[in-house]
Amino acid sequence: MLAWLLSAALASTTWSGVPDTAGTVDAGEVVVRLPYGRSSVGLSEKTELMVIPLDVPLRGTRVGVEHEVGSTQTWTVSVVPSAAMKWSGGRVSTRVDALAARTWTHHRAHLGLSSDARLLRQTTLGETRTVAWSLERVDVPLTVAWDWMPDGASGRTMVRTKLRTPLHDEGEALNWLTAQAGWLRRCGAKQRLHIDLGVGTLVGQPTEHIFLGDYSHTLVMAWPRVDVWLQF
Amino acid sequence: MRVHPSVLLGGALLSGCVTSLRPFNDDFSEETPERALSLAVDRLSDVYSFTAWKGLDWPAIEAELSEELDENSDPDTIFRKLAQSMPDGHVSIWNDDRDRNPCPEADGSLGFRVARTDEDDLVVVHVDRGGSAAIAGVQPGDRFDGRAGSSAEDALAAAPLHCSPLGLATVDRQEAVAGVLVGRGPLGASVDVQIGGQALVLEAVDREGAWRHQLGLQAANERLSARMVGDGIGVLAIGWEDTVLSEEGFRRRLKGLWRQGARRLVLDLRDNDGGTDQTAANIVGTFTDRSWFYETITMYDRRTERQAEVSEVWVEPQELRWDLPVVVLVNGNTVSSGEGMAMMLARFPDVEVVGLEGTAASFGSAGSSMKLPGGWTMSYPAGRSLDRRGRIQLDSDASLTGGVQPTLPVPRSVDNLVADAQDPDNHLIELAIELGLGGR
Repeated sequence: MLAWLLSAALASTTWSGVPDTAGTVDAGEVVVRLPYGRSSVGLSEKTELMVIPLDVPLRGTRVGVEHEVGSTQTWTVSVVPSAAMKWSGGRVSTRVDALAARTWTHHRAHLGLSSDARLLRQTTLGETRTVAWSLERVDVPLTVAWDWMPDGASGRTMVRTKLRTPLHDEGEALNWLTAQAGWLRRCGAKQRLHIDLGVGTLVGQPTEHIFLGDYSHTLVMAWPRVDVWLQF
Repeated sequence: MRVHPSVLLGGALLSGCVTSLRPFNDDFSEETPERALSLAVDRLSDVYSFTAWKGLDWPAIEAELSEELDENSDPDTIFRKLAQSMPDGHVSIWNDDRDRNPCPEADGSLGFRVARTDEDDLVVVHVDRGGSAAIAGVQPGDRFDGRAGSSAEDALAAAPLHCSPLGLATVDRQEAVAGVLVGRGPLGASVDVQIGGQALVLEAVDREGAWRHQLGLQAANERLSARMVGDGIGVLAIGWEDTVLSEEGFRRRLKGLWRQGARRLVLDLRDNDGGTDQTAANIVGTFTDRSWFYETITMYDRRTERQAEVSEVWVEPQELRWDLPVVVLVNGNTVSSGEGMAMMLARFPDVEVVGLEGTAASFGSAGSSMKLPGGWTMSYPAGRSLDRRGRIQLDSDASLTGGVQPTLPVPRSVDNLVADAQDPDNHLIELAIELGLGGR
């Protein structure tokens, strides 16, 4: 069993900029979320540069850009190309997310399609030392999320339920999914403390090869997170 | 209280699909010994992962132990025998009271240990310096003829295996511990033994050392260690493999050996105490350039009351690859994911497994436990490891055979057994180099 890290990032008062959620921060706005969250700077009204200092599954840092390709009062669609490198330099992930969100007064639905290609940098110790890159894995997950915002889109509390399943993953797909339930809250206006309490698990036949711990302890993993959010 | 449907959806998914897959942790410590024995057997007959595979007859086990409990009213012995009724290296029993005598039948040392050779002879392979046997003139290599009027074979068969705090999954493991126990007795007792054609009376004296160590059930002292032992040969020992620290430490030491000139490797998995399956798989992945199926892990599902598949583990190529000759060293204390590593490495081309004996044949998933009266706690596996066809792998079956057998077995000659007992750190490594790396 595998529990996925809940995404904690909450951006502006409209909740835009959350991973798996279409939407960007405003131009010139800087949001820093540490230690796990996604930090962003608005490059324009439709584009933000984002950094995830700790990409847990890869054990590295991710950098990318989110660009809104279309938006109305209720709909937002964006694409997020990003790349991450493991701190050891041994793995690189190149990912593109296509995201759509539909917002109602107290609810929001999300649909996300991603393509993640992971490259392995293998150092071989033979009579001599050689280094070679190879394609290690291609993962194409589909994400569906549902947010409940009891105080509306500008409120302080959001309850998120998210399901994620691979359409393609090393020749096997759709035989497992991850289910998450999270509670997110923010405090204050500019300097905010985001508390994200959640639990995640994997249902079905896993092909995911990354364990976050001993399987006997990860059947259900509660994952409280605290991200400090500073807005300038 | 209002609960939104999205919360209910998440909760239903989590509770319905996951919470039924949990190890059991029972507390029967407040029950009478008779009632606790009955409850323990009920639980084990329901959920122990290998009842059918090992051919265990729980009603018969309970009847025998209950009768014995009625006769001598010694619950300590009964609970230790209950643990030993499961031939499984993942079964262990211990007492919260560290001062409690773990096994009065064998708490004194006669000062010698016995093992069986390839020629089926039982010989003394180790004599404690300054012990009763040494004082009586017993030498390593002497033939063991018997004890207390019994033949050597009968003495071995009568050894109180329930003194072992660990389950013994194979005939070889049981005989190895019996070979230790025939050299022990109640503290202060005088025991008649026949060794090398002589009748001796040896006193069972107090010898220091942990009980598990005294029985030859060593666990490794270090997570990882590495050293050069000769021209271009490195030895990397893995004691246990539990987290990413093990993986990173392993790679760091492997690179260090290569930088020191190692072009051949002895991977020492003797006394490996196991760890996390994925960590073990990742260590093995250092020796291959393609993916290999490692195992399907199962666990008892409380909802269906059957073993359910929990996850698959694969060996994947890692960031560091060792593409030079390797020989793997194992012994009877190589257990769990330590065996898993040996199992996978034995499938790789140009990798040999060397040892005097096979591994512990215990690859199930540890995790369940029960507290018993008198301060006893017994742990046992919660799940199994299956191969790609869904068959149990490595765990011993009803014939008490299983585990990873050496592809290049070290001859169990008197010389090898005695040398291994006297110099366990080096003798087998020298043989592994000679047998597994000679000419490569």
